[in-house]
Amino acid sequence: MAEGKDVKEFNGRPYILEESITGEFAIVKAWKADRYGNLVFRHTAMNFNPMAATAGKITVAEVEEIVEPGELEPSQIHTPGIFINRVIKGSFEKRIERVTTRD
Amino acid sequence: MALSREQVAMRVAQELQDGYYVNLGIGIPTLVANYVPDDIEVMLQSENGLLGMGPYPTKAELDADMINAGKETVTAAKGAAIFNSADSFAMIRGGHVDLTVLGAFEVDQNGNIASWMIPKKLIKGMGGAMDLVAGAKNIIVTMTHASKHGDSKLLEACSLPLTGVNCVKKIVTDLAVLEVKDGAFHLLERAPGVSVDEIISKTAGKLLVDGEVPEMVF
Repeated sequence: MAEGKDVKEFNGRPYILEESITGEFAIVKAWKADRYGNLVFRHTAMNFNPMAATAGKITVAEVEEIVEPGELEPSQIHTPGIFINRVIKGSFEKRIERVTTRD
Repeated sequence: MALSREQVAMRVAQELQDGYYVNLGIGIPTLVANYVPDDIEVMLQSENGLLGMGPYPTKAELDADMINAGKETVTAAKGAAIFNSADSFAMIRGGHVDLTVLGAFEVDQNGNIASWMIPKKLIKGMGGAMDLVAGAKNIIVTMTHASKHGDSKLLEACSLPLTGVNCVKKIVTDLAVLEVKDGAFHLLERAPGVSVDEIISKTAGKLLVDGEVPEMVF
């Protein structure tokens, strides 16, 4: 993994330098958005979405619900709308890849 | 006799301490969660962004938005926190995770670990393992001592591409508990009924046996 990559030492430990990933488009999936593009993710469906949302020249958010501005609590917003260029209300069939239960 | 997967997990669970933040890898490590001693509290970290992973849900609790890093449906324990991947890896890289337990294809006597790809055969992907082995305060590897063909997985030097360098401190296999220190495997315990000779014969790397080796106690 480290082959051919720059290494820099910080506090005595070597670190591999990686360029950040960017794209023409970033496509993310969120739970709720308002029309300013402020996003809230639900549970572990957050994962890489907030970082991916910052990495696109154009970022498209597909959401389960679009709400009116003011309905999302400002301190609870995960991704501020400045990163979001398009919001699409999707229709979702929420499939689970690996169902594990205790009963 | 060689330990079952569950017994390996039970033995690893004995290494847990009260207050630990622990990341469990996919496979046998995941089973460790079932054997956390009742008198201690540990917080399980899942690198997709969950600190305080609870048990699997009941069918009624099943939620597509509650999964662990192995894509299994899980629940959030009391006191859990959910966060994005950058925060998750910040806590891993920042050395806040006390212990990580993960599987491997090979480990060598210098504590190097190979766990993510076999050239031309299998690419599992590294997942969070590279960061976990570099960042966690303590690392335990669980794996079978030898492959199905009888080839040792405890080597002088790993032959596969590495996940981490000089990081594995302890290994729990189906045959033994070993410490990795000063360029050698040190045999600490053996599975009940397994002889030291069998462990020696199935360990390709440098193995030090100091006196009587006790059997594991469950």
